[in-house]
Amino acid sequence: MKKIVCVLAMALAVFAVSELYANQSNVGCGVGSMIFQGRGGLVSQTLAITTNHILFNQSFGITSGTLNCSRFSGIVSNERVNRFVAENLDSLATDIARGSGEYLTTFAALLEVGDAERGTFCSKLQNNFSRIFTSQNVTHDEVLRNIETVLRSS
Amino acid sequence: MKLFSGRYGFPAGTVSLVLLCAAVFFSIYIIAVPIYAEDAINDAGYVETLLRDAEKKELHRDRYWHTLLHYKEAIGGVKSLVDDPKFFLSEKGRIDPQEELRATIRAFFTPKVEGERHPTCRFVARYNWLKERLGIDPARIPAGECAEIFQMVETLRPSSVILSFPTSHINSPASMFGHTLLTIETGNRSRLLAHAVNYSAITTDTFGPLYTVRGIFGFYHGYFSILPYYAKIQEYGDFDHRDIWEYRLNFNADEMRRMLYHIYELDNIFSYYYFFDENCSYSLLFLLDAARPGLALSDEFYSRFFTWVIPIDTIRGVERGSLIDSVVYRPSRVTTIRHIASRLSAENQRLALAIAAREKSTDDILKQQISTQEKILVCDLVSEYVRYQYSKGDITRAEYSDIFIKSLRTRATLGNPDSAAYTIPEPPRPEKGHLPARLAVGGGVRGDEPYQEVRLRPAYHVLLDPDDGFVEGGQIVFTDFAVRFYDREKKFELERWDMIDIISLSPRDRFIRSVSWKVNLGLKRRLLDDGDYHLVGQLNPGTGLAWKCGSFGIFYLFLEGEVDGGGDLDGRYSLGAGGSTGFIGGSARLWKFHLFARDLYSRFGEQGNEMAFALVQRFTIGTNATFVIEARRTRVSEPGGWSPAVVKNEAGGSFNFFF
Repeated sequence: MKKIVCVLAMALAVFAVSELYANQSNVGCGVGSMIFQGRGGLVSQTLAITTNHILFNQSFGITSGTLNCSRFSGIVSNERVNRFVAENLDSLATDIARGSGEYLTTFAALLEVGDAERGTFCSKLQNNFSRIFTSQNVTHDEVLRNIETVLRSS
Repeated sequence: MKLFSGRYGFPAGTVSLVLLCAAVFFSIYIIAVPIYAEDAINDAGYVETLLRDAEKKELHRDRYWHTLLHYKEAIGGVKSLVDDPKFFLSEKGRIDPQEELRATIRAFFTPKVEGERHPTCRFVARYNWLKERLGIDPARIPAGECAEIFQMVETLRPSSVILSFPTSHINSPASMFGHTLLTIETGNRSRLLAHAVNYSAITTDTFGPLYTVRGIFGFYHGYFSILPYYAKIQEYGDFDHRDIWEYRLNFNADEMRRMLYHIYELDNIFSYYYFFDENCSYSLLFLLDAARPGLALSDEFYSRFFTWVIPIDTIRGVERGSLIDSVVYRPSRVTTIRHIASRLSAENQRLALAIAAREKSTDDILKQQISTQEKILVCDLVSEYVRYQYSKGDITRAEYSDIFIKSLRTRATLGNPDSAAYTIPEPPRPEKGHLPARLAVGGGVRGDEPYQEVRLRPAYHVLLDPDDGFVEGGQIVFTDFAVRFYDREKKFELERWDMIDIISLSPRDRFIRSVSWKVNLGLKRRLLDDGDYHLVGQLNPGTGLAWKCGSFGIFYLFLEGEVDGGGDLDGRYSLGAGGSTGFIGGSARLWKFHLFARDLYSRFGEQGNEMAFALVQRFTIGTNATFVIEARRTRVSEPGGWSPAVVKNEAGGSFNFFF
């Protein structure tokens, strides 16, 4: 209760805007369809946008407990994936190592991985854990890039 | 500060839609120009008709109008619980529903002011309702309807509303009763991404007592805010180690839309925050009432006089209102750690600890002659445990991330566990536990004097009350009064008044090494060396350790201090220190006992030694009824033991009813 909650504007930017984006079938990262149907491009597009607009870079142990207003100072097109990974890096790493879990499922949903492909998606990430989380100081940006590399190689 | 600042982020398709809408409205406006050109409110005839119609329908008395404006009964009328003047369109709006209704209708017909949100936007829930009830013709609204918000809510596609209840955290007084928040899920997305609507006080005070006092007397502004739900889970489940209960509410699409409109209206609007009544849980009730016309939860929990709203009670209210669809339990990290550990042998638990302490490496897990399932559990225990240690500040970030990544790397090579390992058994639901208020009626004998006793406390739970739905080892009591009638002397006596009586027994194990504490502030009868009981005020804090003895119970040791004040004490005060120890055992459901001993020495003011032994037993009759018997022996002696000690025995029993 003692937490001072961030100003509405920041949170609502996510509430509304990213929701709008996510509901557009061609906006956001359609990684799932790309990988499993052999189409290319979407991921790198989104990641390109991401890297151009990196606002902050998160590593383990920073993702929790540092939620504050200064961070949400802008909106990039896949802000939602970017932000989710940045703010839940530790939990996502845990779920990837385990090959299942709510954070991994959410991540898959954000990338629009279909239900049919989810199993393959999860085990692929689990099997390549060391390639994705390369060191203890890996940042969420590197993680996203590594995931892209892993998903591309089949 | 804008709540729905979405217009900056509309994707192309939506933008064109908005433009289209705007174009439509604009053309209506153009067409309307000959009639309304001068000043839109010149449509006075229409406005008058609406005002008359509203009067005829007595809309200002309508319950929904009172819900939207947060009106509650007050001396000589009503008063809104919202304190922000921005929330009212009439100067008298806070106390005059009719005047506010008129001002609102008029405001809808004022022209648009550049750079300001028009009242049809600002008060979109009011607009929507009045439009429905009065049949307002949107074409005659000079500024147009608030297409932006309607569009936004359509695009959000709220799919369900969840009332989340992070339970109290045993060792944190600030979380004593728990907390509630609403989360709005959209589309078919993961619950983690839902929008958590939270009402809280805005403050930068960190000094506990100041914070408490200001919180109680309404010094802080309370605001609604929205964050991603995962951020709240991090806050409660991970940091505070609090389990979360999620109650899915059965709102339909229209109801969720109305709720969003009202949330929008409350953007950046403050009410004074009162820790006890106008608190986080109470304020959320307005959102529920706004969603479903006819609900009156905010009335049910309102009292003109001082009262308190306990989060769990609002959940009970929601349950009574048949709003709950389904319930999900989300265990905290500490619960998870304990669960995983419970599935491992002591040896494997020690292995996990050694890895976390960097005495062994994660490769050692693979070398063990244990099943893959056990290796998985050890890895998971290590990664969960170092996160816990890091969040408590016990290890540095470098230490944490090193062990964390190594344990996960090993874990990733081990495949998937059988799912049972991660199904943490659901404890009894908090709303199914006993009610917070308790009336005890009983009697007994003190020394050789029989007495009858009535005891009443409004909140909340003592160690020996039935445990179901409460945190084991936690006790929180507010203003517990006990009055006795002594038959022989025919006199009434205040036996005790516990203004605050908190005990937090947080059992330690290999992994969780927490400290227990207690504090009691109030009045009590103290046995003095004259052989009589005297009324004294006391402050009795203590700190100690507790351990769980398997499923038998909890054993504890406390160091205590006590400051007493009272006319019958030497020098009118006493300052003492000592210790206590006890065991709480039996079964949570049927029978439970508390055996304890306390030894206290005073060296200032009233001097002497007081030793007490007691056995208290509780028998459960039903969820909301128990029978308690108690036996106690107290021995008081002067320092040096010059005069003989005074010894008094006491025994009593009482029926307890929770309501």
